[in-house]
Amino acid sequence: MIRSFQAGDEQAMWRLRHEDDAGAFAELMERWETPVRRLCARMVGDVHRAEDLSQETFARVFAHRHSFDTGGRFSTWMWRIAVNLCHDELRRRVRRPESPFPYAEGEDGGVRDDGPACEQPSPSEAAAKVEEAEWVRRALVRLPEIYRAVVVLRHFEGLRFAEIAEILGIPTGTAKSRMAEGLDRLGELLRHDERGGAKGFEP
Amino acid sequence: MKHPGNEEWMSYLYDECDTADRQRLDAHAAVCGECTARLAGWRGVTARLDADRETPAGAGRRFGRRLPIARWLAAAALLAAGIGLGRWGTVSRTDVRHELEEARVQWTLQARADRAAADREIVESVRALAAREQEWMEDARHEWATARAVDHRAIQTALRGIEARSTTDTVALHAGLLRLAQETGNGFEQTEGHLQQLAGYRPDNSPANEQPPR
Repeated sequence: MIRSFQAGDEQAMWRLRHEDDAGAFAELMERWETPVRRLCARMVGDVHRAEDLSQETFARVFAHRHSFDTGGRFSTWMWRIAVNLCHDELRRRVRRPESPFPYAEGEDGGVRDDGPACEQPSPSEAAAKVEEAEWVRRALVRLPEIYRAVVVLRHFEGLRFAEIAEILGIPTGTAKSRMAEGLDRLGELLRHDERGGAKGFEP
Repeated sequence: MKHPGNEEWMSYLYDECDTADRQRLDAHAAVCGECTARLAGWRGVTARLDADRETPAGAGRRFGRRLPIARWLAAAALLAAGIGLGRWGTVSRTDVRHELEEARVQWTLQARADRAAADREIVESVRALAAREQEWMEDARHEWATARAVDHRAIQTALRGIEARSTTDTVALHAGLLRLAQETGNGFEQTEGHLQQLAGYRPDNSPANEQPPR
């Protein structure tokens, strides 16, 4: 299942913080780099920029290792850094014409490492799934930022509402109501695309 | 009928509510068409979102192009683990942990050695730079001294030339003045002679030759 907490994170962070242990940093990166990059890709809708943002997240984790609160959870702290970087990126970004969703391009076809193994779909089923995924990505990048962060963290990264609230600095109830609103809006966006709102879209 | 709020339904949808709440919400949905429809709408959207979860979305590449240090560290850690795993077939299962630990220690030692070597290299580079700078300074000083000596000699030569020309001019001036004085003396003497001749001059019909009257 989706990984939301690793028992070793805080120990690794302690080693990084107190002993500058390069191995501990490598361990954290190995564990969290893919989820962070995935979050950034869904937040900014661009896989290449997501890679930069993911690297920036770990650079900040390393640079600010001494300010990490050892009483807190590493993943919450790390997600907060990543989400803030995504917000900064979206704020200063000039919309690129080739956006919104080139983030499936250029991939080597690797599969996610956090889901259960499933049977190989037929080529037509696979094509339909890819097309559906493109619709979803298109809708996701059109979703206002405040809803997108909650939807991505809850639905795709499997974080609990309480942790999302802590990351975003909002009450838990607000995180839940944003999730409901986000799902409603996503439903509208998906229906709108199906009615032909996304002209020229060829997955 | 009082409908549960969105917050409650989100906890329900994502399985974050306790059993009592779940039963209460189940009971409500069973009798409330409006809430059942809303719930179905949300479930429809989440089912569609799962399409993006099941296809790779930037999840394929584990190692990218940038952040070389961090990636190198991660790669090194993986390599160390890989060395241990590569020897899985040749060692007994109970030794694997020991092998992995040994690989980790070796990697750590190697990393330290690399870092020390890099530090030494930096120190040597700095020393080499300092030495080269010293050489440049010496060369510059030598060139400056040579240029200064050349200039000094050129100035002395020029001064001697000026002095020689000055002496020659003085001697020529002195000779000129002497000649002028000589010529002036001669002129005076000549003039004096002329004046004396002029003073002794008696024309033929002058009174000196006339007979005084009787």
